[in-house]
Amino acid sequence: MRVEAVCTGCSLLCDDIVVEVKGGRVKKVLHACAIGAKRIESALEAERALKPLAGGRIVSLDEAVKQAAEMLREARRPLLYGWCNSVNEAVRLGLELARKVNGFFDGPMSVCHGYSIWYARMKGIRPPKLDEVLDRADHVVYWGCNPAESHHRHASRFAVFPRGEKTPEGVESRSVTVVDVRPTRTMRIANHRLIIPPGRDAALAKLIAGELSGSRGKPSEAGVAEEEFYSFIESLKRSTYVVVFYGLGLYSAGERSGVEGLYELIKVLESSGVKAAAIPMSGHYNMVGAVEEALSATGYPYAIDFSGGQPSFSQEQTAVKLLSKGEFDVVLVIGSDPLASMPRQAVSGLKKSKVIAVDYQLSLTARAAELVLPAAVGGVESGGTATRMDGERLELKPFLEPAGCSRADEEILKMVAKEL
Amino acid sequence: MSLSPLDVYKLLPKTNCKKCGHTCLAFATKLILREVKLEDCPLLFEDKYAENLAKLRELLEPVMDTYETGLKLDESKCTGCGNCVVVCPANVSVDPSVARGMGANSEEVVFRVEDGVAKIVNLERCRRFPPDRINCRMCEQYCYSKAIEIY
Repeated sequence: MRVEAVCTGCSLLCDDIVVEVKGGRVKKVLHACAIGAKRIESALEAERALKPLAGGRIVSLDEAVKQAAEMLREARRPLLYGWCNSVNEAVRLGLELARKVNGFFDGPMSVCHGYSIWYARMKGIRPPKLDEVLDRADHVVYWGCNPAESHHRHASRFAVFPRGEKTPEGVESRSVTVVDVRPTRTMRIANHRLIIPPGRDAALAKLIAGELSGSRGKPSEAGVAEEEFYSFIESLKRSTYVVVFYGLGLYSAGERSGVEGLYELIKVLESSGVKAAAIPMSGHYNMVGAVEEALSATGYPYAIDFSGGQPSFSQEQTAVKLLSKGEFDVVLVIGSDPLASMPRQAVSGLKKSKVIAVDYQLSLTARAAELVLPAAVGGVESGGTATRMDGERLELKPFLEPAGCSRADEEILKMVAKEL
Repeated sequence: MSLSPLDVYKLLPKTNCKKCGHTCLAFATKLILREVKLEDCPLLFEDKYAENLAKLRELLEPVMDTYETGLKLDESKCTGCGNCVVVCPANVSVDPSVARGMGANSEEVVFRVEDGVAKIVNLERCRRFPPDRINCRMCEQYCYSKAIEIY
């Protein structure tokens, strides 16, 4: 049987995937890239979490849910962490749960693109839809990101190669510029390659803005090669619709001036008569959705503290920072592997707390957890809506039954909330 | 590639029965141009031509391989980005949804991504093949991982 699917391998949420399923097994995956195909295959892997575990012992789902509720109820200061790999409906339930247990709600977004997504929303900037980029953008800039390694189909599915209304020749109708600190694979499809030293993004944005508004600076100020820079400027001046896709490269050493400088440049481009926009290249498939759900429920994007009853927020108090201080006694981790990805100090804080892991795989975090609640693979075994990097909401189309005792994130959260 | 129609003709039934719609010599030329298939000649599949059929298959095989187009895809390097799928003019002409960046659902395309890596499905559709013989290198030029090589 051939079924259509939406890929949850990254925030592109490719919706043209075709899967051949036979007897509950995947026979072939068409059109998904290596990351997407791997995600679908992972539903059938040996590392799968299939049974609820308490202290390494197999228990019934009811028992595990009861224990999770008890741990959260008795917690002095619980953290509910993850959410970027869960559907919007689950994030909403997570926010309710955090309110109920006076917990702290956060996830990888606070150290990733959460700020970019929030910043644009604060300024009232709505990014264009990727389909509009496909149809109209005649200059695509990849800045501090490397989609050739992270979002494999970005260029072929939307931004560079497709033939659109105003871009009838596809790649021939567009200019492609890559800005990075080193040569990257994405540069292989670029017309302009601007290599800058780390941390000079804001300086480069200012330099470009200066060129457009008539106050010339020196390319050396941004550490960029003169010839490359001016050929890029010439091409930029000829463009009618510029879209900048930017990555974490713009946050060198946690600095936010790169992102802010970029949005200043977008304003200058617009005032010089060029249509322009910027879209962050969020990684996890529903990071945008997680931030948007948090904003609409509380007015805050992430790192939301419900300990005082009412939600409060401070940009400086993220899960990573608070974990490093050993602040949390119970941590519910959903669809994330902080033990493998967080800095050492935060990891030692995490190790001191009791962890409830909700995940489809036995990650490093799940292996060290007090309690494991096996989750279904989103988009493969469970549905819901997810939000693409451009803010477009897509309905997932699951095509397998949840394996073993696994359940959708939503179902698990509902069961825990009910038990509370 | 210097495959002569006469070399092919020698192995055909040479009856000019025209069951394929052509004389045997014209059929030989069309085989090389890939306008007809061996299956179009019913006589060839009679037992007495079995040996000739095997020789013909061997003779025509290089046309199906990378030799004639000089196009090679190393699947172990491929990340399934689909740049080749969408940039390939032959793919787009066969499956118009590919022009919009969608995966190629037609069975007739040159490239398609299966299980996370690009596969050559119909090499003979490549524009480098006869009759077009265009020195097109789009797939090679835009491959992120240098998995495609044209030599």
